[in-house]
Amino acid sequence: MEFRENKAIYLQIADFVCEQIMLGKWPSEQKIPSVRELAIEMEVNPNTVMRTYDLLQQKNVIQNKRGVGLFVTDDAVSNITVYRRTQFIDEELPTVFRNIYLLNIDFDELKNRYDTFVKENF
Amino acid sequence: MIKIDNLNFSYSKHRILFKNISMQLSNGHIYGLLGKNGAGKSTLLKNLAGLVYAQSGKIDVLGFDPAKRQPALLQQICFIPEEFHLPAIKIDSYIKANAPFYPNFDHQYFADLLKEFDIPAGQKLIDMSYGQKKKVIISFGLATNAKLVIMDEPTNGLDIPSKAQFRKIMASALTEEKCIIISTHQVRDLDNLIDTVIMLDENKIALKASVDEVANKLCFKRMKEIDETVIYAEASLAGYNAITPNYHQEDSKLDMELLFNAVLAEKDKLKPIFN
Amino acid sequence: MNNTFNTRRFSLLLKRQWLEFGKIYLMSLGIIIAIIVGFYLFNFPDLSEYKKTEMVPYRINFREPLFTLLGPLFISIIAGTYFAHLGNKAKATSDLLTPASKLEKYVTAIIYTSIVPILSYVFIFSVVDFCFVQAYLSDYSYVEKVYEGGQYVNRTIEKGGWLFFNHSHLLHSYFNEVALICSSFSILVTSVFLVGSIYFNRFQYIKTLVTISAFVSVAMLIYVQAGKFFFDNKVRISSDNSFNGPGDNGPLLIATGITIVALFFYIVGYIRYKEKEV
Repeated sequence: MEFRENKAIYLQIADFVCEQIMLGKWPSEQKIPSVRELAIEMEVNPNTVMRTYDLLQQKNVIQNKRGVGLFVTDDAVSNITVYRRTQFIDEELPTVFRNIYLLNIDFDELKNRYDTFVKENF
Repeated sequence: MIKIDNLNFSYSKHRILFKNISMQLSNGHIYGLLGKNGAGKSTLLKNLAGLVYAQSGKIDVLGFDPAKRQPALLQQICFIPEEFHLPAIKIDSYIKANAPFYPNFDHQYFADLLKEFDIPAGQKLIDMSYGQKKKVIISFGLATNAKLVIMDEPTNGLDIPSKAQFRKIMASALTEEKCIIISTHQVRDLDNLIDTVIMLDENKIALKASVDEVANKLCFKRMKEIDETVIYAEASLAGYNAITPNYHQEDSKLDMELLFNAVLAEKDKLKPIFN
Repeated sequence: MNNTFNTRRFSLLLKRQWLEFGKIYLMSLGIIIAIIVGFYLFNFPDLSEYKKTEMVPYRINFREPLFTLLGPLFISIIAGTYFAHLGNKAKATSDLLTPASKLEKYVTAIIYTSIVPILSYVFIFSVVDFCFVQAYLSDYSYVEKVYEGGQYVNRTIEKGGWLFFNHSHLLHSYFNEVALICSSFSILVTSVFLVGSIYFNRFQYIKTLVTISAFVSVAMLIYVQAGKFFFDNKVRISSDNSFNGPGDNGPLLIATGITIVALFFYIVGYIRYKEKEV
């Protein structure tokens, strides 16, 4: 995987895992790759993946079934949405706001563009 | 696993390498040893393997003194030097002659590693390129299942696809029992593999910190302009790549090269942050 | 775990070292065989020519100098190459990090540099000699006068008597003594060259040779000068007129002395090997 410049690797891996779950590639109640397996795939230190999985367990996206392994939780998708929402509001929105302010973009224009975008894509 | 106590090492009166170095390394980690040319990366690794003798100080590796070169310790050390030697024989004969010295040698693992590296098992070592030989010796070393894995510039001589294979292999090689130390000046090859950075400079350990600790204490970011919070910055196309103290608990991606240059340039500013 | 000596590890080490050392060794052995055979071909008497003469014992005199000159050359080369790799960083690293004890590694070195080459040299020399004697002298006999029990007696030498290691064809009553000194001397040669190959990092053989020559010249000089100093213009005064050469135990004493010096060099070599750094 190509990592981006400025976000911590463990968070980028968390994003990757969340995306796999959202896209349905890792269905719920299915065993997910072990720390080692994912570390090999990502070419990163297993301790980094461990940190990712710790974070996702805290967020209730995955859970550890003793002696069996790590599984996607039933309500993973909704938990991811919550997690991503806070992440977006905390981290990405400020940049967007900054640009809106600097470039003097009108909120009505923004709404129109948003509506067309949703219509075209979803 | 490794304990270094007040190590003093010099090749001659005029070439002092280490002054009173002390540190501890534990298992379950991949340590990245960084330093300028001639800072003593290889020499520190050789000290750990007992290939050179320090003037004073104590080194303890798995409860042994490496300078004694006892077989009980040697069979737990996998040392991949930058310049290595393989006899002009077939891989199979090499394994037959050398593997029995290592009680935990895993033949299946060795075969898997060669396969991962795309090396045909029956090939003669003499017909191989430097890079291929390096892959063989890395595979052999890892298959010994030695507890201490020391690699001096392992990615030197590896082509681009092999570097990716190497990263995968190292990610899989790290277990709870193993301590892996990799020296490199090509940090970009390995920066996601390393979980603890050790930097040598001016006869000392200029920095020893886990990647998490660095990311907790420092923030790596792009800035349009430098302000007084910046510890170290390098100009780039989009402004500056800068290091600041991590005031807001941001999770930034550690830029190993930037950190390395910062340690060399701003030792005094960084020291209080890490102590 | 025994960190000093373990038989299993030792035998593994013998095998491992042979893999690399064996090639050089066998090649040197091949060259030595060729040289010996060459000398025999040129010098060994053809019976059709010599049958009726009594020159054979003199015609095969070339064997002694050949044996005594070629032997030290061969074993010194073998001993000089064994640890030569310690001068090479990469090879030394792989040697020093092989999980066997220093003692095991050093004993392996002694076996491969002293015992194996000396035995194999004597063996191939006698085989070549045997073949030539069988081929050319099998039905040649010779009568010589031997001093025995206070008088000269005639003795007939035939077949096996011509073999180099039999030596009944020559008046060598002290052959055994010479052999004793020779073998202790060859051990000394290997020990010195073994130390040389550990001590010097490059051009081990030449450097060792130069060092020995320098050492021997200096020793000779001192010996001669000391002799001059003590005995110049002095006359020997003795109750009997015979020379007091070494007594009956002389050769044994000399051989023991040489062996002790060789042992000393082996110990020096071991210490140097223990302290070898890369």
